[in-house]
Amino acid sequence: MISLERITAHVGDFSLADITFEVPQGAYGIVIGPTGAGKTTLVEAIAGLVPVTRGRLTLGGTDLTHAPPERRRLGLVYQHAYLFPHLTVRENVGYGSASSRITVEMLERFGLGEVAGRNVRVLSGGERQLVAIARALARRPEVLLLDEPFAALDPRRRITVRRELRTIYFERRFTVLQVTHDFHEAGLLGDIGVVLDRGRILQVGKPEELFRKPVSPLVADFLGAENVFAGMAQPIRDEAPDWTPSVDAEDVEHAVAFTTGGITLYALGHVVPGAAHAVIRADDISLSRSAGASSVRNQFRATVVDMAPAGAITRVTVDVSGISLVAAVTTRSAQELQLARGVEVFAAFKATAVHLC
Amino acid sequence: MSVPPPLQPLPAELTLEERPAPAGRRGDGLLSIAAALFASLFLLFLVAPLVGLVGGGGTSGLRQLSTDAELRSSLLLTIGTATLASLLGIIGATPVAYALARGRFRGRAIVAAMIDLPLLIPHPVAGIALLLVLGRNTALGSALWALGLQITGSITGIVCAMLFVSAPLYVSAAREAFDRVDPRFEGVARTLGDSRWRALRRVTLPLAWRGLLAAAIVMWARAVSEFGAIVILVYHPRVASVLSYERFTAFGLKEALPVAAVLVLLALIPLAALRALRGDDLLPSRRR
Amino acid sequence: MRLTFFSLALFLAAGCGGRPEQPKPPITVFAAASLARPLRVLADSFQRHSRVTTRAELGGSLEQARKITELGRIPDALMLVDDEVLSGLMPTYLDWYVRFATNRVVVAYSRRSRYADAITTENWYQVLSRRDVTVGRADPAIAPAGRHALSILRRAETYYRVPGLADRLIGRASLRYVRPNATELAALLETGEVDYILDYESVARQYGFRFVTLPEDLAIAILYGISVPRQAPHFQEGVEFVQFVLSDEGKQILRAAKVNVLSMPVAIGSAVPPEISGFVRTATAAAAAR
Repeated sequence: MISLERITAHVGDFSLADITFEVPQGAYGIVIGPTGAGKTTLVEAIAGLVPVTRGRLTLGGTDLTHAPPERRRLGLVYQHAYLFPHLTVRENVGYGSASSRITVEMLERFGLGEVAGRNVRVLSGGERQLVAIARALARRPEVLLLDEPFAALDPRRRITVRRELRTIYFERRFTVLQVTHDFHEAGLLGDIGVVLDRGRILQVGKPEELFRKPVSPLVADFLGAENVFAGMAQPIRDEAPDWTPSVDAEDVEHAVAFTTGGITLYALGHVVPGAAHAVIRADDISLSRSAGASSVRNQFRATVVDMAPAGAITRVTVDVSGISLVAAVTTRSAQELQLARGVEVFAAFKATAVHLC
Repeated sequence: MSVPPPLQPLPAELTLEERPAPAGRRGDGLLSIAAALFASLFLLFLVAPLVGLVGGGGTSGLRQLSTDAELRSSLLLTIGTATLASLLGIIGATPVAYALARGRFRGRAIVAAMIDLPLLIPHPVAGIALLLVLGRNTALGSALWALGLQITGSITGIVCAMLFVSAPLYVSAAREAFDRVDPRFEGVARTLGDSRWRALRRVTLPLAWRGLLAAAIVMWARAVSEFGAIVILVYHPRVASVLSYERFTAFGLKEALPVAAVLVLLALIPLAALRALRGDDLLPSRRR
Repeated sequence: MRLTFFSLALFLAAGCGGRPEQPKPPITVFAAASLARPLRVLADSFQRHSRVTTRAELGGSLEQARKITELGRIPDALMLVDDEVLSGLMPTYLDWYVRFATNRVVVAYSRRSRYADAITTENWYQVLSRRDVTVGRADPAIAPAGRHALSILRRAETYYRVPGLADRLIGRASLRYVRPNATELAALLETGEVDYILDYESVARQYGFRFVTLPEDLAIAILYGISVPRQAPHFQEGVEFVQFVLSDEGKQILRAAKVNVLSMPVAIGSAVPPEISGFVRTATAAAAAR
């Protein structure tokens, strides 16, 4: 497992400050953040290549804050492989491994048997990353650090390499920390997500939680939430019995009226009355041709403004009294409903789908 | 589904029509010609005197090699001391170059500047400076004397003078060679279990050795040609530069040219061989 | 655009090459290294009088002669140690030269030299033969001072009637401490690398070294000669320079630099320029060759 407690590190003018999170044993952790967030610095600090000035780093239960990299029993894979250019594939993979049997095994495992004797210069991008991963895993590390390992690969390769990695991960169940700027990967891969920006942690949690309950509009925006609105939130203190909670306690979610640009959304949450942001994921919005009696609290008349089909999913942008909402529906549904620009629809989403931050 | 509206034609200023070539392009061609001209002239400037030298004294110099014992021993002495000085330089200065390339210590710029200083000092002054530190009356000098080493009139002095003026060149070039090896290679090696030293040995040096060799060649060449610093410390035994100076002053050009010409010819052999050894560069062009 | 800038730059560079009107061109003087200090003062004073700048090139007298005979570089004036150097340049390059100063080899030393307090004109040869003493001298092949020093060391054996003295002395003044010029020798003495050097009295005085003189029969006086080559690029200015050196002011400067100036310089050769003949006593070439 990987545990960081208030880790601070500096590289030149840039610093990571007060980084605290934990990736349990055998879990797959993702660090998401824009370019320049300090993701590589974080990885290098965990690897021991960047000195830590404050805080504590624990790997697999041992305090390794100031231990040299060679004693940390971890593997590191950079975005650009960093294969040793003067060595062959076999020599690269076997670089840190004591046993040639394991080296051969790794070569076979990753389908590198044919190119084993050749110099790494002749490899393609995808093959290079496979070699880099094989090299890191040949030492049977307890922790694997990946710095945007797929970013430099073309989409087809990306799928292959990712699949290989996941297969061996599920077999061996080492702890992984992968850094990425692609939030889709985070959703697809991780058990734990860490949002990093400018050297500081913005949010830690399961990816599910990050997507649905981003702690700030910045996080929401970075995680690709299509619908983020600024507005005013006001807890509802209606006389109507169904709205008033019986207990005015802090841990009970209140009904909230969120006004933005002339429309009012209903949400549930703990908010201080005043300015706030509402986040609604596109997949939580459904479209229909007629208003129906349903439990959905938020139903709005809208006009379709744009259709962006992408395979099985179509992203439909609708206009609700001047406000744009993006809904993700299946392309089949869009066709069946005959959705097109200018068509009038009803956009609906549950109050529970509106996250306030 | 509604049909998307037809595309509007792009406004004229956005189309990529043929435009008349900008006036600058003709100037570019002229600039290339001028540059090529200057480059050739410069090359000629460097090569012509050497050709004249070798042409003037080369054949008689080579002939003299078999008859002139003093010339032979002088050349042997020069090449021997320069090689010894270079080896000492490689051993002593490579760690310095590595520290300058990798280290992030404060005052790194000052140390680098200090190492360049010997290059700035007039050569005789460099010789005197060495005397002030390693001379007979100094602490270091008397310690050396106790070991049977003296800086004046001996091989020790020649090697010291050569080392002093040529090592700074090695440090700059060797540092450059280390700079070209991305520290991440070493980092990855360390995560694979290598200590700092092991990573240096297994990754950095194999990737940097060609640059280091080039640096060593420069250092060696500089050592061979040194005169001013050496002549203060050691006039006998005579290195080739001192011999040619003395022969010129005592006997004239005809006597001096062959010495210089033979030195150039002989020095060509190791220089060419070493340059050939370098071969291909494995490192990618610097990125990131 | 680039073309015009380029040609403009060239034009300006060419224009900068030419200097504004200068009254007189500078002259080049080849001088013996031992005359370094007085020459600087001579040059400055001469400049003030005549507005002619002097460019001095210093070196061993033999080296200077080589520059003329081998490299074809003709100076506007020569100030070298005599000793066949100047007479050797006659008649191809010189018609005449003027002996204007003398010098002699002395044994120079510093406060730190071994036996510094004990050495005298009488016992110098005994001090210099001691095993723990090191002696520097100039290269006989290129500097007259070196040739004289070596000759003195050799002749000391018969002079003092001590068998084996020459070998011992030359052993102390070994090749290890031979240097091309007075400059290097002075550096060795100043840093204490050698205890004694055999060099000119003028050099010893200029550097402020202590010294003991040698018996006159042993250390024969050396003569300095001054001349203007026939083919000098600026013959007239060269003659003016020589005239200045031989004038009272010039002689004063030389004396201040511890050069032993002849009260009546002697001209050797023929066709001595009229500006100079007033300062000298002529002698025939035959009388000059001792």
